Amino acid sequence: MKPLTLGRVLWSCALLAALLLGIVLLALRLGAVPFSFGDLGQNLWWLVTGQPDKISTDFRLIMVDIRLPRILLGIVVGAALSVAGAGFQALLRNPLADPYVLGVSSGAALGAILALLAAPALPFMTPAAAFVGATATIAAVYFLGRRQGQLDSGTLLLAGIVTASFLSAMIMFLMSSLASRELRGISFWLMGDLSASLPRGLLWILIAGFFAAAGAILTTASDLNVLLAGEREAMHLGVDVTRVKLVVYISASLLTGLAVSVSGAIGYVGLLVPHVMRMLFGSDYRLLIPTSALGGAIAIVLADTLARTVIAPTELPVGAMTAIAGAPVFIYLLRRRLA
Amino acid sequence: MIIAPLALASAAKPQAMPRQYTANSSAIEVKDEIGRAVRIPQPVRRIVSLAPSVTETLFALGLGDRLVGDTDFCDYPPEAKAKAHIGGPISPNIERIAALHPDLVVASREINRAESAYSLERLGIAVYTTDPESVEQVLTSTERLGELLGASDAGRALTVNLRGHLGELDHRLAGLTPKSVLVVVWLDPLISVGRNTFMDDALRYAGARSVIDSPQSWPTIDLEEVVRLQPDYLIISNDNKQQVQRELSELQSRPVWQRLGAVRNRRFVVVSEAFSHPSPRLLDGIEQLARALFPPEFTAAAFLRDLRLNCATRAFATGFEPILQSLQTQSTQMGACR
Repeated sequence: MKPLTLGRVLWSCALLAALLLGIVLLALRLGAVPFSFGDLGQNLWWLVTGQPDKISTDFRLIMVDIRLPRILLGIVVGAALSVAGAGFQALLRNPLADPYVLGVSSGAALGAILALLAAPALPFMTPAAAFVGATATIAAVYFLGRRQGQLDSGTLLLAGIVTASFLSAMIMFLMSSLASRELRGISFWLMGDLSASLPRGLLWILIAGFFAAAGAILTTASDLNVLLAGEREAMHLGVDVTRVKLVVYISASLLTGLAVSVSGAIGYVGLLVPHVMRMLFGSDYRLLIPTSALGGAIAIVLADTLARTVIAPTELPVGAMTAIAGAPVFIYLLRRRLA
Repeated sequence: MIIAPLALASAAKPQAMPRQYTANSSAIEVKDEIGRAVRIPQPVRRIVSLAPSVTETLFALGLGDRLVGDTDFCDYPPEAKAKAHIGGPISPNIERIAALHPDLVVASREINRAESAYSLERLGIAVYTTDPESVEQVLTSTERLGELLGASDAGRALTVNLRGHLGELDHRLAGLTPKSVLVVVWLDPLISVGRNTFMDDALRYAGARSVIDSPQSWPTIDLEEVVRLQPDYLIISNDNKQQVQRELSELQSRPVWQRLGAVRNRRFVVVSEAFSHPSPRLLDGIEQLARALFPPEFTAAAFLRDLRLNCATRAFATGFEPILQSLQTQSTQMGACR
């Protein structure tokens, strides 16, 4: 492993950030309503330099009010899922771990379904109830997953998987026994979907929550590097293993809960992006967490742009796109590394 | 009904409405059919429809020229296909809708998602959601939409006409035992209609009764239950003739379905998709179904019988008795040939 220098962290992140910026511009340009890059540049210039009066109404409506919030949401959701995935992979020491492995998304889905049934006419209820469902699941799995008062990776994984399948069964039961019209949207939710616009305030809460939780995981990054060698070894080297595991568990679960509440269960990103980043930049968590955040953002913005445009004006759920595109990309990278 | 005309002070709250509407001086605030308050700018010049049934209703009200966008699935009347498409009803493309600058978007609770309405409302676009759950409500919903969109006269004329048709049908089918039917909404898994749906209600107007009595709107049905209930007819609402033929012949080859008398005797009724859209066109579907279930009541003979009964003077009718008689025999023979 090459030694990690600040320069390498900054260089890697700058590269990914530049890529993200390029993809954001592409995502702004592409869509059911066409705009040229010239128009885009001109209007963005007016927006940035504080001359909003010159911006055309169409541009404001479509770029500023529709596409930009959706892209921002995609960035936050992608970053949150990837950081959560990286966190769970270290916590459970299992390369198959993803943000949903411990049942957070199933709990959130159950919350969303109950909200849709109880109060279909209240737009804020669904994300709020999904978040409550996610939090309740996090707490339940935490208490089920302890052994002798401490989080044990194996027990936690089993408790999480059982909770997830129990909650999924509940969801299936509710969906088939009620067959309510309000649940029509839930299949989009279960696939993962970014098309529903959110109130501006919610986006800021989401961004703040992301930085708090991802920051908390980042503070444990060097401890996670040691922890990957084994818990006993980490303990001998002076790592407070109990505290590190608790911080990672809570932060990664909260990141997942936040993402899932607003966009449903977008698959593959949280599993694959950390692995891709490991292949590209090495497995040092101090670098892996920021690069995963940026990589996740790139992956979702790219997938959502494709979901919006491949069969426009009809939209695909972004989760379908990540599932279709995710697996082949991952296998390509895996084979190339082995070759 | 609460229709309170409000003067929209454009200076007071300019950001509440998109800029293109600020030229309009007024809006009305109404409750839509799912109980949400909607502020509809007046007059409504540009409408986007999010459901085939809504598109059909708007055309029936003579508002087709004000419709600026509809869904990929809107294919009736044929003019609907030429409108700008905004995607499917479940996942309409919000930016495509916004770019059409609609004064009003009309949705249907039956097929659209609430999230789409929220997304549009957040952009300042008014969304009116219809939710007819019976034939009567299809008519009142149509009339109300006519009022809100400045087509009250057309709406009233249309519903009076449609009510007339229903009355005629009711008269024709009076005293007949309803046929027991199974409406096949979907084949694998078998989905039928529940109690509180416009389709279940429409069956009654066509002289039929669904064997399924479920509180769910679109219940998934166990085939065993259908075998126990033994409906007289299977009803399918589909315009794709080839698909229906394929499905029916496949159905007949399945052992469990052969346990159904209706399948063994090929008692299938295929009606047009009009029957599964909660729009004024539903009445066409009802009539098609009634004609298929009770052919004798719709032959020339039955028509003449009605005519004879309705004749004010018996003496007048007796003069034509021989002619009527011969007509009747002919038409009965024709009916028998079919």
